[in-house]
Amino acid sequence: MSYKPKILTVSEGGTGVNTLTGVLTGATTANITANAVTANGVLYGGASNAVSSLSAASASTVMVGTSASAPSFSSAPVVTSINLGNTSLSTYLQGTYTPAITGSVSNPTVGYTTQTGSWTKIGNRVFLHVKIELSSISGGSGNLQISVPASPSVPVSQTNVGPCYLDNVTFIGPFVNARTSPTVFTLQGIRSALGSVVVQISDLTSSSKINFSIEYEA
Amino acid sequence: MAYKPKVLEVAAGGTGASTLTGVLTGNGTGVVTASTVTQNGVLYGGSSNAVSSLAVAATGTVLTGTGGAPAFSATPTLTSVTFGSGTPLSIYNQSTFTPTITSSGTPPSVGYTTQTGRYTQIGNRAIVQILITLNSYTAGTGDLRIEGLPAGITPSQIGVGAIYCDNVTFVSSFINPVTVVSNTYLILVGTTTAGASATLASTALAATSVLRISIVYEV
Repeated sequence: MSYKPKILTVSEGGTGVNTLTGVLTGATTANITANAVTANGVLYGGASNAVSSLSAASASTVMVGTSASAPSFSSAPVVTSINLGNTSLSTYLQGTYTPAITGSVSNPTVGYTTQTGSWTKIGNRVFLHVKIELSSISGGSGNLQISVPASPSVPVSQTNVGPCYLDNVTFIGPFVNARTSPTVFTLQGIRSALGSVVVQISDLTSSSKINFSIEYEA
Repeated sequence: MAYKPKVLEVAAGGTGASTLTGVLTGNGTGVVTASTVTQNGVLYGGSSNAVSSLAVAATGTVLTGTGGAPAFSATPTLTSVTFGSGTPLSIYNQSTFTPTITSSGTPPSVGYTTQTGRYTQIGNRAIVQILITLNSYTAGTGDLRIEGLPAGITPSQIGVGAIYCDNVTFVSSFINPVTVVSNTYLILVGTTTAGASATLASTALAATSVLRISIVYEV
């Protein structure tokens, strides 16, 4: 009968086991346990003081937290902001809305062929484009007003101006720009040495087309 | 002579080593080894269950995957970043291009003094500036086109920009550069106070024409 040595327990200054493969962790006087780890995998704490490791992370990924779970690597992390040396960049958001025409005195009845508003907010700047094409319009009066997005909203304290391309819209110019007004967009005709004139509901026809791009702070 | 106890082998419940410094790793019944680690260095798995550690990471870096050992980087490469509940931001690109004057019909013959195009793409928005100055020009036919937007920033929607021009003939009140959806050229659209709009023709330019354009549009 071969000699079988006594395995020394932890309380006796031993490990309590006769084979150990991996990173060793103890638990008071219980046997030392071994935790296998993955080559190039980041180590993190497991349950009861054990050690775990992630798989080797792919290139073009960063380590991200996952609340109460193990960390992980991601190529598309979600963060609150990134600071590239100055102001933190905390917003990038794309969206659409449906711009509608109203009148400052009374609202016209409008049929639309196209009614698109698309915006991108990058940091505190909103880049917006509006495209409206009419199929019919009747009634209404006052300044032509075009609704703004509910969000990102246009600040009341600012006036912003953007280039405008019109078709089948009469106006007192000689040229016209879109502007925030601030709860609606208006189209502003500008005259040399004379006051500016807002495009009116009465300037539209059933074939009017309005395109403008505008950028504002939000 | 001092008593020297026998180093207990792993198979007997020992470590097989008389000195151990660092994180301990076992290898079956082989001697337990110790891996030293760097203070404040991230740990990662080495070969055969050993433990390695990175150097202390500098401020302004994040831990990145490399396919091998992880590394900290101040300039990580990613597929996208999402801020909170926002849209994933997957593109930031700045570059230049060479704009040219063409037309929808027979192309004009053009001599250029300046031909510069610059753009920055942030997500789905392209911000473009163009400067063209001519030194000779023989008009072609059809509508005037300003060609050369890189394929990567082909417009997906109509965008309207601003232009400052010199020695360009138009009968309208004002003109704007306008993108054409799914095409790599701009057109110049003139608008009149009477309500008509029309694309400028190739004949609108002259040998001394200057075009300065700024436009932002959706890609």
